[in-house]
Amino acid sequence: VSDLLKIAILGTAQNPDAPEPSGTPIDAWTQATKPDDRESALLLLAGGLAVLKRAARPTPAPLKRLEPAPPETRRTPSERLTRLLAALFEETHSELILEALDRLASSGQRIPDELLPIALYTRAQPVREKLAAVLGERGRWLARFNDEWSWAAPAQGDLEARFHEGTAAERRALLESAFRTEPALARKLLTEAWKKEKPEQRQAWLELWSQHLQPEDQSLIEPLLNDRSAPVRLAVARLLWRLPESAVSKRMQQRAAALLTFHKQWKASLPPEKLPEDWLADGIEEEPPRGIGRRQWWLAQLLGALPPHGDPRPAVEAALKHELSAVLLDGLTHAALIHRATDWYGPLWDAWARQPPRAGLLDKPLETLSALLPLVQAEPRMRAALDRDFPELLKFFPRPWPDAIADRFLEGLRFYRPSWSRIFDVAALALPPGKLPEKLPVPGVQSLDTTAHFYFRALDQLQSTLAIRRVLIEETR
Amino acid sequence: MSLELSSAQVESLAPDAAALLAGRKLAQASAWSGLGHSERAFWGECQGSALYQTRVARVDLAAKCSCPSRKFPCKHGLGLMLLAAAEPSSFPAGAEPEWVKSWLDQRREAASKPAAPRKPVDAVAQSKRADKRRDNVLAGLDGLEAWMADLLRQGLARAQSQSFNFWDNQARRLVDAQAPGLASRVRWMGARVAASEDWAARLLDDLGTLALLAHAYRKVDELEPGLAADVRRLVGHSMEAVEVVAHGDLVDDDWTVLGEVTEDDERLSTQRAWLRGARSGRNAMVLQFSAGGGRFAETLAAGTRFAGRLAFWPSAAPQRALIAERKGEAKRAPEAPRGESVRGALERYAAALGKVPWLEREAVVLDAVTLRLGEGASAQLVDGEGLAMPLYGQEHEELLALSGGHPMTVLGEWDGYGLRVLKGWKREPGVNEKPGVQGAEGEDRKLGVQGAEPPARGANLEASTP
Repeated sequence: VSDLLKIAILGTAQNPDAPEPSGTPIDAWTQATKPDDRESALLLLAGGLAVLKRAARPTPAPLKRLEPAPPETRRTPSERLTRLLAALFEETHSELILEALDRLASSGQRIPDELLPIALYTRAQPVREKLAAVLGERGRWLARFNDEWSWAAPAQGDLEARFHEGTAAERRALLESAFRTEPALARKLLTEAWKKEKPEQRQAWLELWSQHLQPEDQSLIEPLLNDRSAPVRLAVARLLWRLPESAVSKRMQQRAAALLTFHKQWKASLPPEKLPEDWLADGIEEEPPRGIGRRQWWLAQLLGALPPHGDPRPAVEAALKHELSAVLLDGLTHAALIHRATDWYGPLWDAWARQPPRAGLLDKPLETLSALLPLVQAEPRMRAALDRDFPELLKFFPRPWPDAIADRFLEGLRFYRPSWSRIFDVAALALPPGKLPEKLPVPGVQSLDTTAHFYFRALDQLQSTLAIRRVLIEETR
Repeated sequence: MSLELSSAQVESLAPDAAALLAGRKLAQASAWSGLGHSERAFWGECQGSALYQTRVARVDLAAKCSCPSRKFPCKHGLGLMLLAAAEPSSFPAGAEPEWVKSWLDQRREAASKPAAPRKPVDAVAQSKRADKRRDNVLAGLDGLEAWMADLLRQGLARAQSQSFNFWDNQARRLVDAQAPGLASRVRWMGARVAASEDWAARLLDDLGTLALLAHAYRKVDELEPGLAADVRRLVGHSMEAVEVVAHGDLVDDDWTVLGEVTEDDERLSTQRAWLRGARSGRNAMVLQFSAGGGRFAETLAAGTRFAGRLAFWPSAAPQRALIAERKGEAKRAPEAPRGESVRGALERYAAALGKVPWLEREAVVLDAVTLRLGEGASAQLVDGEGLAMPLYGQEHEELLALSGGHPMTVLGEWDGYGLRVLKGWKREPGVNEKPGVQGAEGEDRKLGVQGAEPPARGANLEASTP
């Protein structure tokens, strides 16, 4: 701090002394102006020195050089595609970004430099996963400079070391990636760290495990039935329902055999009034959700644990006719899903399409089944939904739609069907790349009421999204 | 149509992110009908909840649309310009529709309309008014100097505990004394107190600089005319555009808009656009204001170039200018402007300060500089000679992303303390990469007062403030 600044900070009232001469021409100049008082003299001196300082400020010592980013191996997108990507990143809810990133990846392109910051700020996990492939050398290099971007920085150390040093969320992410790439290591990490984790984390891990379950896992999972947390014990037991050879599953099958039989029609009795302790230990939840009786709830869970067998269609048809149809359908659907019995999905979908939804093991059975239906089973059901003017069902099927469904949809647009506008947003993303017409037909209407107004606005929006996708596809061939 | 515009340039005209986003969505030929272009304009009609007619003048990219949006340009204007930049072939040549022609004609009329006939100058009354103003300002200066002296007597440490009113009341007194230029300096000082680690040193600098300005005003008649004009302008004597054209330097050139920065106050937006003449090599700052989210009178998109005449405000180191005349449409400028070294930029700034000690900032285009990051928020640009310029701001994400740690060209505003970065250009590998410079970067250096000093700064300072 200079002498002058010290005097100025403390005040001239406290400092009767003059500052030391600055040793610049400003000293003489200040004297020559013959200032009225001491303060004016100091202010003029300060002013002169300020100008001098700005004119001849020493340049600071250079900071350490950054190691520059390595050369790129992927192509930079055109200006047109860059502009499009910029718009997609700024629009936070755009699902189009996922398609755009897939296409960038498959066409050997990368995120252009100027969009890297906005891309790295992405929080949505599905977007981040796809981004990893297209950030390029520059993106991975850049990610080191901001803590919020560290998810994209190249990992330091091996997976096991990172697992032990990471946060709960990082451990979960690492476990997920290990299940995909090194399943044996995933199981080792999970069982070793099990007791040190919080119950919520243990439950989340079980959920993860359920997606990668193998019959050999039985011996690893069964000891976890002694977990100290009741919700975790329940989740462990339910995980074992998925393994038909496990003791838990076997006991469930025995209990079911006493209450449920199917031979052309279902015969079902309700479980005892009081839930036996051993049922509870095997993953049966005691308290039902609202709208369903206790014993019906226990029965649904029992059926929901069993590995499905036999011909699905008669079993589902018969279940629909039974007085406990909702319970049977709920249990059968849960069972089909946890045992991945895909031949049951179609008949179950048909049943749910006719059945009003109610509380049970599954929140949204029709939606869940739609997303998992194999293409051959999906296509006729999608067509039926369009033909019967029940287009909302198309929302849940996997994308892109099969060509035949796309054709039927586009053909149908020639007529004014107000209900269809409710799936225009879905169609905009689901029409396959080869079925994106430049102009959509605009049907005539009798009167331009609110409904028609809404329809045409939605049609405009559909048209505009299709135009964006066409550009996207042209630029990523 | 050969509209030499890039979408990046059009994007710099967007009033906000939402308008830009909406504009990008409309940058598809399928969103438009009746697209066309003439010598003077391009246009199209867009079907929204009604049919909107959008036209853009090629001379300055001013847009007009029949939609009810209060943003300028609106999403339709932006969409049409983006489309023109990306797909000029979508705009066939044709006769201007009536709604385009009438607008262009109105614009031309407004531009060529002579200023309202001035009342004959009453020399006696004018001189009386000038004397009265001078007396007013001088009385204001007496108050200001007493206020500053008191501040110094009490000590700057006390300034920290002063309320907003302490600064604002003094500023108001200066406005009443017809010295609005000084008033805004006082408000700025108040705003900066305790805002940074070195705020006390900055405050002393600001007070001293203000004392110099007050001192100079008292002797304004003894100064050479350019500097006298600077002092009057800085105190707050405004000049009308016609006066600037009549008394200022007129320069015909091809002007490139290097970059611009817009600062939004509560009610007022201020834009500083930095221009450079291709032949004269002169830099110019076009300062524009707009109230309540309205548009700026001149459309100045970074990266565009136009032929025209600028009128510089009379000054010992002319910088501020207005566009007196445009002589052709705005075109895309060659990518990066020619840059200079850190030493060159500092010397140029020092020379300008020597002429106008109150010069706030100057545009510098640094060539082949690399970004360096230190602990905390410190950052620098270092040139091939190893000389560093400190940067304002904490986030340098865009520069990092664009450069990847490699040398680049950077436009910024230098104020003697730090550089505010406005824009960066990637250097095309192999095109302007100088191997010699790369080698020289190995020796980082420090330019100091003891080393190569900017020339004759003390002498200039003395000459300019007798």
